[in-house]
Amino acid sequence: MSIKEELAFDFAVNLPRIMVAGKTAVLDNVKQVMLLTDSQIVIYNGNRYTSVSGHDFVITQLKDERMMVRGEFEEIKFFEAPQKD
Amino acid sequence: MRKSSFLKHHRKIKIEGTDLPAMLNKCIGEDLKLKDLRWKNPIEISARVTADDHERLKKVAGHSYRITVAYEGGAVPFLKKLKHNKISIIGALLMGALIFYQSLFVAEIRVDGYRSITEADIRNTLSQAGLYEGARKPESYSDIEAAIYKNHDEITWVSIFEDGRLVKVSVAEASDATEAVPEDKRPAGIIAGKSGIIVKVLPLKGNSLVEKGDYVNKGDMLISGRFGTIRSHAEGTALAKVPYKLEFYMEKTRCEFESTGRRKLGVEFLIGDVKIDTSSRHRYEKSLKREKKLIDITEPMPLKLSFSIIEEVDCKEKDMDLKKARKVAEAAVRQYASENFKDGQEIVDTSIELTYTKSLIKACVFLEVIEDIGVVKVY
Repeated sequence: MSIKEELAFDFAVNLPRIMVAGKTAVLDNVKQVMLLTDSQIVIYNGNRYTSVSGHDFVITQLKDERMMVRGEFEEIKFFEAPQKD
Repeated sequence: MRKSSFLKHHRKIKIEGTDLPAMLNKCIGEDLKLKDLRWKNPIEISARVTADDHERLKKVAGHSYRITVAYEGGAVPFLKKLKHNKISIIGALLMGALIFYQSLFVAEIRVDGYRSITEADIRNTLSQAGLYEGARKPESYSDIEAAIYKNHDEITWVSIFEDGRLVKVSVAEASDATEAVPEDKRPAGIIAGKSGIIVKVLPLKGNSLVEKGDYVNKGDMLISGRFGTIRSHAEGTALAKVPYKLEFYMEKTRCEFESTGRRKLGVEFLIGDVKIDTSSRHRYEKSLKREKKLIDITEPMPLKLSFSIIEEVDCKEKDMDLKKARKVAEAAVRQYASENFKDGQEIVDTSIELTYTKSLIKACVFLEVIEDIGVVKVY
């Protein structure tokens, strides 16, 4: 990865960023929580949305635009904000 | 420095209301830290927050959401709870005091290093000096060590030290090892040291001059070391039945206690070194005490509870009958034997004759004792 790419990655504060390791996931750049249940979480990152599906979700920490989630992860989706007319 | 989450004041809260994600967005906006967030149903979530964040959260939630505290943890709530539970505090203090108090008493004594003296003798001395299971630990053991030195001449070294509530007493006795005596090779025979009837002769060196059943007087030669003109050192044992005559006197009358009918109930209670004893508070001149121990323990601390009946008695002088007098004489014989007879001396026959005098009973005792009567006599 070049320095430009690394800087773009680190300073992308309005884009989805998620790291999953086993039963733990860390979602960064959480601007808003759109949906929260024990099987699905949808968050708004500023420019795009992130959807995490699975079951037995517990948010172990929500602080400083960072959400740590524990549970069984099945699907992760990213999508755009709907176009305004 | 980071505070331990165990000690930090935290609350588990329940947030109820519609549009819960909006509530969470407000928390993100206000930089509130939520932990262990769980979705229960569309209108209820639970979370863990610090006490400070909880106050801020209530302001953020306003009247749109209901926030209830399910559990409060950390050092501050624990102490607050404890403050309201005075019985627990008193119980803990009492327990602490009890543990400290019981540590002031001796729970066990171990004695080692003794050889010729019995452990019971040493324990008896320790007990007389004030050291026994259940006794209060003394500040210094020098008096107890001095008592052991005084009562047991054989002991040359004593060490007493505490190991918690265990007191270890180590003693060392003077070595009884003696220098090897060079073998006596002077020509000698074995003569009778006492008069008696020969039971068995075992000559190891020399010729036996007597046989089983022979009566020998004091000074008679039993085993000779002479072989013609050769003289040697005779060795061996000569067991003989030796008569002993003993005389004992005892009072013709003896005291028999009879109850006067007056009695008193006493209670003895001991905890640690605090003792309450009502049984000694009586003015009877002569009394008999019967005791029933209900509790008598030294672990974890000395505790004793006993009830006693103190009965006033009168002493009635009564003549001692023959049966009783014979028992007293037999006991006197046993006492005499234990004090005067050595190992190897065995009583094989006892005869007691009782005669009454004006105020005494005279017991004539005839004993037949088997013993080695051989004495070395150098030619």
